Amino acid sequence: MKRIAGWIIAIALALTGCGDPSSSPADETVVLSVLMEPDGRGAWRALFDRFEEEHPGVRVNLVEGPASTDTREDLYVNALLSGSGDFDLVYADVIWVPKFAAAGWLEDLRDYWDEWDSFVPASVEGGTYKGGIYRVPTQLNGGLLYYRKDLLEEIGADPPQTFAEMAAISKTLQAAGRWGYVWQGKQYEGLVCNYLEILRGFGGFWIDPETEKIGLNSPAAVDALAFLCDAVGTISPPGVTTYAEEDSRLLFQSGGAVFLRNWPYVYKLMAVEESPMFENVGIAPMPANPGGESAATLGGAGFAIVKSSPVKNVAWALIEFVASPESVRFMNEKIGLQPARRNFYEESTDPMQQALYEVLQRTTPRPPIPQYAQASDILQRRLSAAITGQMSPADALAAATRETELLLGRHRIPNPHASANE
Amino acid sequence: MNRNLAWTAWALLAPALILVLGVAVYPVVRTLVLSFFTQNLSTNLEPVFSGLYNYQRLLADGHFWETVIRTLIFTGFAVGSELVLGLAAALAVHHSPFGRGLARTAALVPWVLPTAALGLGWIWIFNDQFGVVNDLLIHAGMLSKPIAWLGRPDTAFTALVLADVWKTTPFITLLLLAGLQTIPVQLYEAASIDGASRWQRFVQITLPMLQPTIFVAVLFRALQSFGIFDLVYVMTGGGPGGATETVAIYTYRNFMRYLDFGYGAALLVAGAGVLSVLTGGIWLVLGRSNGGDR
Repeated sequence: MKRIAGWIIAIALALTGCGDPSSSPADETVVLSVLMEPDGRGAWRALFDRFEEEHPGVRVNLVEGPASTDTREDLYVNALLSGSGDFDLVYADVIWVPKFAAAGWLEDLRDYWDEWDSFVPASVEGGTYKGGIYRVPTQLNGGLLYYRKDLLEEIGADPPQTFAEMAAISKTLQAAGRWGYVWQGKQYEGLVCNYLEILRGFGGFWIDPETEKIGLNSPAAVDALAFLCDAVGTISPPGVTTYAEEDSRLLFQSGGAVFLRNWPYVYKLMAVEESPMFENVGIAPMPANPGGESAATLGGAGFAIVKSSPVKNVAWALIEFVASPESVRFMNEKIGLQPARRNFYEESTDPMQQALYEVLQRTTPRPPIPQYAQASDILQRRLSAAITGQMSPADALAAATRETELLLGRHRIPNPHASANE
Repeated sequence: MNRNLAWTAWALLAPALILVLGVAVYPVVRTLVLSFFTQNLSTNLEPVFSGLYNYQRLLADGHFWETVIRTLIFTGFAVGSELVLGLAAALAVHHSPFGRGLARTAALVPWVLPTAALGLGWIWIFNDQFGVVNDLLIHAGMLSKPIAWLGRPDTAFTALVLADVWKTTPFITLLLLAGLQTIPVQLYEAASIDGASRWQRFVQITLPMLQPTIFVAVLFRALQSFGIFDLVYVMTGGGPGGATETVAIYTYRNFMRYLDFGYGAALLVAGAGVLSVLTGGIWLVLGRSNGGDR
């Protein structure tokens, strides 16, 4: 397996023309390799160039991977599993961290500095696993509610505080060719992100990271899912159950909806594209019912260090550099990455940043368990079955609870090898 | 001398042998071996011998067997439709007096386009608000209001079959066209003189003579179709509610997303087993009887 994985990564890298196994200690220059999303506008390269200027003798090998987060995860898994030493840093999506940390691939960065308090707490929490901190967040993402200012003004409504208000406004403003509320209902990770926000808004939880207790059987969880089920076909288009981010964004942007749940990128994209809709769009935190709290599912990326890297201290210097206030401001200006550093927002006078901060402060991580991918797949499948009318919300969540219990229970079976990593 | 010749033979064969061993035999053996080990996050990704545990787990894994049945049904519908359409198209092109080259080239277009990109296109074609399928059907009076094609188990499945058929029918067409061109014209002439109708000529000459080609085409497509991944991954992600999850998607998830390598290997082995049975079935129906005629 290891060797096969090595081959796959070697071929993949050869094909992208980025293979660079030359970080041997015999070289004078230290080469730091990291696989990232496509650097379309060269912003990362520009940032790394600055780093190289400040650190003679260090070169950053930026491997531009596929745009799909899942595919990049596959490439990292291959490389790390094979122990090929292809990468010194991992540009990690928030949901990879527990799995990679549990696999023993990442360096615990907790004691590398004492600046953790300078970041939005959830962004740091999203990089923790069993007491270690494995990732420095450089980009903060959270789900938020976009609304049509012009339409809401027409009827003298404020952005909705509760889900009932949102449904009521939707029904009032719906017309031919215009729906109320669009979101991401395709069976994929985005559906889980959407549901988690509603779930917290109803006062429920998914998996308690401390106790591994599962909260999907609660009335709040069922009500939250029932809300989404009822939305389909009444305030949301029937096809919302097939939408990912872009499908929903395009519908909203073409005037096809009053409300849109999406990530911050939509706002920036509309500004960049000079969309005529931009003027009419406002952003607000997701609604919440009494007893629940308005929530934003934490997303975003950050840097981690590969445990087996021979140049960990240099890699850390790079992380300190890219996570510095200057660098995050630079990346925000260049390609609109939302920094995870608090002072960026506290010092900013831009009303858009203020509005975003309002939302991003509410971000909540997904459960930091190593079997997150399985737990998410279980939930995705059942949520999708419920919103497409194949199962009732209560049945779907009861099934998801059973399957998740089985999953978490199986992992707890004592294993003689399980202690090797502690 | 003999010895030398033997050495030369081996030396000349060596590159091919090494290639075959490296890319075909080694992975197969490695996967087989891995399927007897547990190697996942609970073992810190170290392989721990666990005998038949993965296979016990697999037998009890209803979800896996659901994906097997579903993938077999998908394969049946997809390859069946492709064969009928491909044969019709091949006959049309074969008997067309002009433009055979052009038709051949044009037919290949869907087949050479990257599947993942096509999948994104199909998502929009089947979109409930903007999709052209809804638009056409509503204008034709077959639908009263737009439906979310990819949001219902039955229609999502149909949409996937349709997308697969559209993409791979050209492959079958080309194979069958080549097959048609090898059938001697004299056979048809002789049959015509004996007074055989068009239908009789088709059933008694074309089909039997084409059978070896049909066998190869169906075999190729069935193998490919059973392993379908990209189209499903892009178009539905296995949804809605897991209704379009195929064997390949499930296996991929166990390997790459759950890091459950031992179990993933067992799934691969089981999948290969199912595929062998399928191949055997196809051979029994299409492959066996043609030897005697020649």
